[in-house]
Amino acid sequence: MIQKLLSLDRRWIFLIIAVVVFVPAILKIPVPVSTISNSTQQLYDTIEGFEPGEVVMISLDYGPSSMAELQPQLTALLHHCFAKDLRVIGINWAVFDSVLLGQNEFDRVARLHGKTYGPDYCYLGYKPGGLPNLLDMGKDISSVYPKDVHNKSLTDIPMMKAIKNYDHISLVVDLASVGSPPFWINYVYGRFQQTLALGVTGVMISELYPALDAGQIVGILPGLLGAAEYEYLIQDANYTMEGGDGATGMGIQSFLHVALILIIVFCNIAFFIDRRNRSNIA
Amino acid sequence: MKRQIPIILCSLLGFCLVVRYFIPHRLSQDFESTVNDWVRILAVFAFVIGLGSLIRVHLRRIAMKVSHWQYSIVVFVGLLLMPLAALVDFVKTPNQLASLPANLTSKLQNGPLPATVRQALTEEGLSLPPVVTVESVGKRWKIQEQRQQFATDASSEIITQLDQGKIDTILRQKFSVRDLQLPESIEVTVQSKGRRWLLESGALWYLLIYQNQILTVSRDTTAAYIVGPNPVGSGDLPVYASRKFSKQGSSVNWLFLNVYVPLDATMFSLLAFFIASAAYRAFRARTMDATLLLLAGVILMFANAPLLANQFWHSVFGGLNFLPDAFPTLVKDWILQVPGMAARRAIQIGLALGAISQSLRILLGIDRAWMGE
Repeated sequence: MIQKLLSLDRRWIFLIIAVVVFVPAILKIPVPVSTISNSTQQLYDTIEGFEPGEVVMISLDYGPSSMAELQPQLTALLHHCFAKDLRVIGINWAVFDSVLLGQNEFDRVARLHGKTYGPDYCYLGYKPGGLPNLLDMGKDISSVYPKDVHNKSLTDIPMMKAIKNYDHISLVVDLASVGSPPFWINYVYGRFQQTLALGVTGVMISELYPALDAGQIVGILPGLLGAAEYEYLIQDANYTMEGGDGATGMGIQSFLHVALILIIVFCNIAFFIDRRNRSNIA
Repeated sequence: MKRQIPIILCSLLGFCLVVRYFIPHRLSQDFESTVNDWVRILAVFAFVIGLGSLIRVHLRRIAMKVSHWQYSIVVFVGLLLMPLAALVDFVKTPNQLASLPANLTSKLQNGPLPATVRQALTEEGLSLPPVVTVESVGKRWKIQEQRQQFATDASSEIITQLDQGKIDTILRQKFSVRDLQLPESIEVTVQSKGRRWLLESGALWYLLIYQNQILTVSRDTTAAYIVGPNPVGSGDLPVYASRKFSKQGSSVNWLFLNVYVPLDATMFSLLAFFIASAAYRAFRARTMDATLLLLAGVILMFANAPLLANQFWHSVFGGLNFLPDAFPTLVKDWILQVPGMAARRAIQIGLALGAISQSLRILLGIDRAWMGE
């Protein structure tokens, strides 16, 4: 019996996971957070401290595969920035297949806040080149992006007339599911002392804490939990927050984690019973 | 010689770039800019090489009929479909709504729409919003409604009416003094009761936000018409509805949002099932190391699930005053910021030392793996 449990057909586990994911996803069970990670609070406080008109650049370095975790972070950040009347620049530094993801979300959230493309926000998109693009934006953004995604010259975008390089940007946030954060930290913070924050997938958090501790970044949003925490902070401050999937995602994540913990506990109980039986026989 | 020249070039350029980092002179910066331009140009060629390689590999798979060669056909379908969709979007002829006489085309310039042009377009049967501007986009002109935004005080009656999906007559007057004539059949959608409403009538929409006794009314910039480009042999400029030029509704956007995004997200989502299966088999407390890993993993999963870390924790341990409310989050933060960070720093220092030594080996020509040796 115990042996059978220890070598349980994986399809049963797949079925359990399917149930705990699909049920809260279909029923849209929201599980709000009430405690906030330090790293999320630090990023929120940084943006909260900005004056209206200051500029935030958001780099979307993720594709559709990670949008479940990172798109809610983008939504929450945009809501916060637009509610604070900050101006926002969107780029895709490392990943080109998220241009439309970002562009659509920028337009959607901006419309909710009555913001206009050009004076309040703009989207520059993707340019091949990698690291040199990061370095050259420190001197002149228009040398990397002469035009935006609408093929409009940067000189014709009202907000970009006063923004030449990192000196005119209060904060850069890299939302990443790929290996882009070390480049932003090493080159953009290291060389230009640009204030930097990150939003990353859950599996990437631990490798970035040294940078947070060293003060190289001002905050990290940890995966979907970070998005849910940020949504909580925005709503707590009575800012407009619509369309965020963080709280709903926490329902799915909570049930999934409960199932995983139970699975692990269950298999370890079976493992210890089996080991005791074997030692008794011996 | 065939090997020596690339090695010399690599070493020379590598050392120059390292030295350049410590010289903030203009010449040094110009050198870096030139190198960066070269890198960007080469990166574009990398895309071409990658595409060529992809085509070659999959053509070979189809030709040799290796196992699952049929999937290579799917690769080509996808490869051709997206550029084809972009091409269709590009050549799709929009319905011409009107034409602007040649003698008026010289009047088009960035700024407000000239009265003569407005009159000509109106005579052609086009309806234009009261305040529109002209903007040059390549060989075309975009006639768009100017962004409209104003703030006004709002009585509780106005707010109540809006919450009921109606527009108060006083509010309608407040709109009209700003030249915003609201159509009679406007639809009010309550987005957040007592705070936000969306007023829609066809393509027209207004967003109302109530905050601190002030009602802010916003109307986004919306392209109304596109004029041009000039067809061959005619001085008149065709005028199109601008929807064709918007990304919404384009074939590429549709394919991206409805095919690529779900496929990519689905592939990655499968990971959850395999992780669960692997956790069942591998997460067993066989040794002390495995037990520590297991405990850290369970604590992080517990703290990352608000249902456990907040609701469950408060209901079970809420009465224990000596434990802080956010105890699971504090423990998680401690694991990540103390033992986790110490281990990560050790790894990063090791990686950095390794990268430095490897870079020096390449610059000195000792390591030639990059040449395929």
